[in-house]
Amino acid sequence: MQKHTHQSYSVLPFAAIIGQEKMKLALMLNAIYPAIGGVLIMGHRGTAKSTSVRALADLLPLRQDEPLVAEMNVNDAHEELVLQSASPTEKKSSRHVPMITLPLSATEDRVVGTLDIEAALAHGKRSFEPGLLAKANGGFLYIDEVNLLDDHLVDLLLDVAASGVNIVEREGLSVQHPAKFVLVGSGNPEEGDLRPQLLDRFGLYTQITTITDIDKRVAVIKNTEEFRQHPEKFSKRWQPQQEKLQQQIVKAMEILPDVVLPETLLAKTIELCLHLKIDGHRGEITISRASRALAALHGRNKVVAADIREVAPMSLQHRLRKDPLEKIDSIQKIENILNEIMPTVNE
Amino acid sequence: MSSFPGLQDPFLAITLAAISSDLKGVLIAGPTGTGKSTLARTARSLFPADSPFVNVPLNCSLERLVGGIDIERSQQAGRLITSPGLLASAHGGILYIDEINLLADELSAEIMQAVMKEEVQMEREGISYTYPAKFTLLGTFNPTEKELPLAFYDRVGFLVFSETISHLGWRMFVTARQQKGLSIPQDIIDRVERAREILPNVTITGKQIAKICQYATDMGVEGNRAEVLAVRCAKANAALNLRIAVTHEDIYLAIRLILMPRLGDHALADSETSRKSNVPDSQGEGDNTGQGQLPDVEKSEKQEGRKSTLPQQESSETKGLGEEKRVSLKDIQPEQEAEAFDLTDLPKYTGKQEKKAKAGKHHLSKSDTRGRHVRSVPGMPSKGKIDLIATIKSAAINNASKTKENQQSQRLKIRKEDFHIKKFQHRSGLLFIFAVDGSGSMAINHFEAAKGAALKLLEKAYVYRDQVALIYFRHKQAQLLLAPGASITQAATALKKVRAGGKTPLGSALMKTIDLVKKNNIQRTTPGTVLILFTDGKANQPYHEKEGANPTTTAMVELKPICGILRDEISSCIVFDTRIGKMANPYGEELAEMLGASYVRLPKATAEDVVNIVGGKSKIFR
Repeated sequence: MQKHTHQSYSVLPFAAIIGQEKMKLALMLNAIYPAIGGVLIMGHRGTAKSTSVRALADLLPLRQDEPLVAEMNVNDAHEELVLQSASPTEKKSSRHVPMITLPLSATEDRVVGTLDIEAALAHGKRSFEPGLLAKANGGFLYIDEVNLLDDHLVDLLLDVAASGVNIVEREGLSVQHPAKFVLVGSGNPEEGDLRPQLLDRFGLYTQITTITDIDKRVAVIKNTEEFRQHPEKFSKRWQPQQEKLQQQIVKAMEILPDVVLPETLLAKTIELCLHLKIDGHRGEITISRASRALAALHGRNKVVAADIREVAPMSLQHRLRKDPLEKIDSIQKIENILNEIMPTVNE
Repeated sequence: MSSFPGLQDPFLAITLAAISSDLKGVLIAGPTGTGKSTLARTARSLFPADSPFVNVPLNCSLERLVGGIDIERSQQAGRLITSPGLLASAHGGILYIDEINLLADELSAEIMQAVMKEEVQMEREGISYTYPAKFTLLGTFNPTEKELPLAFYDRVGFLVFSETISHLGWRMFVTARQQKGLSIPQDIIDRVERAREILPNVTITGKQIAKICQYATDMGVEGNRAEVLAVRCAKANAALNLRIAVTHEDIYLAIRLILMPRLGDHALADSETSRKSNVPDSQGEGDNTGQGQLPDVEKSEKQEGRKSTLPQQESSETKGLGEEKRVSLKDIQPEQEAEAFDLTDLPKYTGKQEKKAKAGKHHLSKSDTRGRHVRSVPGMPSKGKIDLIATIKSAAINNASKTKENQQSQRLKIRKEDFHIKKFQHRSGLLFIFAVDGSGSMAINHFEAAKGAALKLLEKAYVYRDQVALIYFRHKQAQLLLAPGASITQAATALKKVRAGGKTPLGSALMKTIDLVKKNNIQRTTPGTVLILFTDGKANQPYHEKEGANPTTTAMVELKPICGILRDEISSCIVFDTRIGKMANPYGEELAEMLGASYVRLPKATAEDVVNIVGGKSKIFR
């Protein structure tokens, strides 16, 4: 397979992104605890949505694992293949957490993987060329302008995102491989709507608006321009902050398994979802996971009420039943009920 | 720099974009024949001599744009060779698109992503690569034909207008230039080159940036991108004037050229107005005479239409206008009129007037070679567009099993069953045109109920990826509150804010509908169109006013021919009669009859019923 890789301009350090705290938090929580189920970032144009997503991969610690096997020979067409990580004998190298971008123009075969046509032509070999889903395994799959994504790709994603397995049955190939990834989407709601099934697939939802503080806006411009002109110098200057943030995340990943959500708070969370008439259990499950990740980020091993308050709006906002005649906005609605039922004092 | 009359802003913008490629490019809006395309093509000489100039034709395929397999060279080389596509070819130069607003959505999306990421990522048909693609985008469009997709407004630095200042003057200029060959004077070209060298050394103070930010905040500009572009624009202008420090002139220019067009939410026409009224006058951008002084009819009409997409403004305006207020006070009745619907006497709508044959026509008009290529299936080329890659793949697999016996054979044998053809997916969904009567008489006739039902339908529509347009009519003429393709959230917001009052320009509403339907049918955007009309059917504001004639009579009489035209264009039509009470004036029924539409008495139907009725009607076209 011929590959043209060009060194993409390195991304703005995550720590240097100003404002948009909710979005950054949602991204970090997912990095700490992928089971939260991803994040959808919708909002104004030009508010560092995709910049932040791309910056996340650089922030996260390097991984000591191998990507899925790049090529498998399948000379026997009927043999079912299961792609797995490379054999343990192979030397493991450290790599960045994959942050794979799914372009809007992608065709099905590149997403799920297909027959390696070059191998087929040159060597008469039937081998599998993994697609973007395989590349994203263990990392993030990012779709910019997710609201413009074609329906046939959305359908594919819905299947795989739910099962965590990509099953390929095409061109005489029969392959399946794990495809567990954090789904990250971003877009501007004015350019199009998102299908409800896909909306529901995202664990968290953050709505972002333009920063109104002038000083912060000035700082944004200065950072952007400085980074544009001297990327290396700028990145080095931000390295201490970047490392500090990274260590915080690493520590959070370590303590996450020990973080507990007290029964009383879980009960309150369920009550909250019942009050908001949220269908299914995804609401409370997401809150419980996100609140544990947040507690871990703060270095605590126990979730407190403030954690729930913080993550509830981003976990529930997109799950509220859409009522176009609704007068108050959904965040306000969630917060009103939070105020009613969630204790204000952390024990 | 006055060599381009009427094009001062476009010319200046292109010059600045040629100095700083970080400005991303220029979009020039204007009526046809204002020389915008000529300028864009001529502007090439402002860029470094070796810069590529790539023209994207409107009928460009996605493969051509992002790249694909070079079949010929691959075959010769015996391995796969990719060809970079137009976006990558424009790297380091100019990507030029005439009539950029008419570009297919999927191409626009791809171009915008390349503009932002400065690279093109290709994941198609077994190939995967990333090419650098940093270019300056030059695009021209005529906003009266079709609106520019929202995404373009934001990401490309300049949005400028070419205006017809003096038809005579401009025409003489063009004629003269065309004989000599239009070209940019060498001194300007040299100056731009100097400016490019100076640019990296240009500085801007924190205070100056703060000023830009303050303006942006006050103007309600979304996001930080505009400010970043404004800073770059100020710097480029400083460089153009051979200065290494940004001055207040540069700042004002940046505010005018970058921030003004991004004013508020949907800025295009609005910025035009504000630009004329309160732009700080800057020097250093040449002759400004005559700019915006032409009150030509087309433009004022356009602005009228645009303004309507700003519902907030529309309502605040209403408050200010004494006359309107009077009308609303007199006509509008309290909202409690929108009482609970009475289910007992649900209308039996009959489909008898419906034209199934008509509907079928549009449905079948989609061809098998248009739309987006999603997958390939076995099939002979006579049945569709051949997919070479898939065909070769299949042949390669079949040959592979045979090469064991016949190692010598290098030639690929393609058998009948190897042939694959492409399957295309069309934009799914329908175009729903909601036309809502907002006249004074509606106020007593369930205006809120009509809105409620329309909103319910909007909510439903987005599940099917339908397109929605919203026409709201009252007073002098109908307004397109929302153009097709915009989001449904926006439609709901717009609809919630409108108030009733004034006359009923029903003819105007139907004419607007005809426009939309025609456009849709020509561009084959969706396979079908459905008009959902909420009105009491009593027109009293004619589309064509006749002198001396009773306006109500004119308005009623003109409906018949207008309905006749619409009837021929649209797939399906439903009239919801909003009239209350038992007064026997069958305007709604008559209207439905003329349109060949289904007729439903709204006051007896719940919002749920409305949804079901429309759902049932539109099922035929899905």
